[in-house]
Amino acid sequence: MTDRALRLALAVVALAGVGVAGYLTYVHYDESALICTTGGCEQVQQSDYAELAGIPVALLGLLTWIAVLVLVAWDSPLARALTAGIALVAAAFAVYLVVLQLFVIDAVCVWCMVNDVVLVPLLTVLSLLRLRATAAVTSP
Amino acid sequence: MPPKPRVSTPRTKQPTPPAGSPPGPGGVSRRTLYLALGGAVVVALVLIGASLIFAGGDDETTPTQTTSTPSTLFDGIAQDGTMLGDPAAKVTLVEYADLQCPICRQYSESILPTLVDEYVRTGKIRMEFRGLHFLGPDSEKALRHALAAGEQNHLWDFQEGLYRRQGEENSGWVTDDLLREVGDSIPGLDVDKVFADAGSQTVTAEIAETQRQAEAAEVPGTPWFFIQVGDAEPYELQVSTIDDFRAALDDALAT
Repeated sequence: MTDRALRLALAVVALAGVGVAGYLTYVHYDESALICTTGGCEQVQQSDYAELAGIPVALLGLLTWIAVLVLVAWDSPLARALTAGIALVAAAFAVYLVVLQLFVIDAVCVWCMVNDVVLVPLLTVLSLLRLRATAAVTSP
Repeated sequence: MPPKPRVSTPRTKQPTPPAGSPPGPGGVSRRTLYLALGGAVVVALVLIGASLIFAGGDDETTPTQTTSTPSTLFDGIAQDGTMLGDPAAKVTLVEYADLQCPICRQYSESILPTLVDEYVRTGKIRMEFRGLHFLGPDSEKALRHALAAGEQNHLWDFQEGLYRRQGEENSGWVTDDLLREVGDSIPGLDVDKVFADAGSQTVTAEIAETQRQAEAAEVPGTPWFFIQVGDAEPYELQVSTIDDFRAALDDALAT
């Protein structure tokens, strides 16, 4: 894949991430947004783990996706490295969140899973590929 | 807030890697790369640690431990078993709910009162409560007593009282004392009879029937709503705000 294709793919993934995390953040705050597609959403969103120091995890996700989007738009070697760094942190945290849903909260929230199992791994792979592609160009 | 601190390592002069350390991706030295990787791991661990600590730390229980004053929400409105409102109304709003479900409580607190005032009290629609107990044992105990109160035509008062005292999921919050408190707050309810009827065959059969209906209608979670016009097949609603409900009900009333 060319760097342009990778960059475009990253932008698409980040936009999807903003969408999903934005929805989850909205649901977290809007008391009346009460319909969810699996029985588990409410359990996950209302669990003790839905907030980190008072900040909704969904909001952290939203901010992270926005940061990725900005970095993809900015596009410098530093931005690429930062994106990959964020991706690694996100990947580790996503694994943790999946474990929580499956084994601790015992409920699965479909939208959280889309984020943790589809979007974050895509982000990680794409941003690392991009870093490698850049390296191939830059190194002697 | 999460991603920021990680990359404090200088990464500004990529084109000239320090001698002795081969350039890594992006022209960044391998050492910087390892630092960044280590940084990422540390940040992730800090986040996870913080999440675990904060989740374990605050055990904020019941959001609304409100008053034992009797609710006046349903005063003057006919209650019949699981039904609320004028039997002559041709539109019925059917709600599948679990008495332990926090979102059901939110609906009952923030949307239900308005709907009752605008649509039920005015005789336009009826409401039907269909109780499920998929969240756990507290759900079933609460549901049994609510249905038993329904046999005395006080189900709606009872479920409202339970929501107002809702505790943390499956924490054992549905105690006999709490049920008695809810019952005592409802004028005209024979609380001893509620306790006696909660374990009855009638209630058991009612729960099984609702469970069957929910499965047939493929109810995916709670609260979940259907509208039934006359004897027609009920149809599912996609609603979340009070305005969605108004639009759906007005639509049904117009047919």
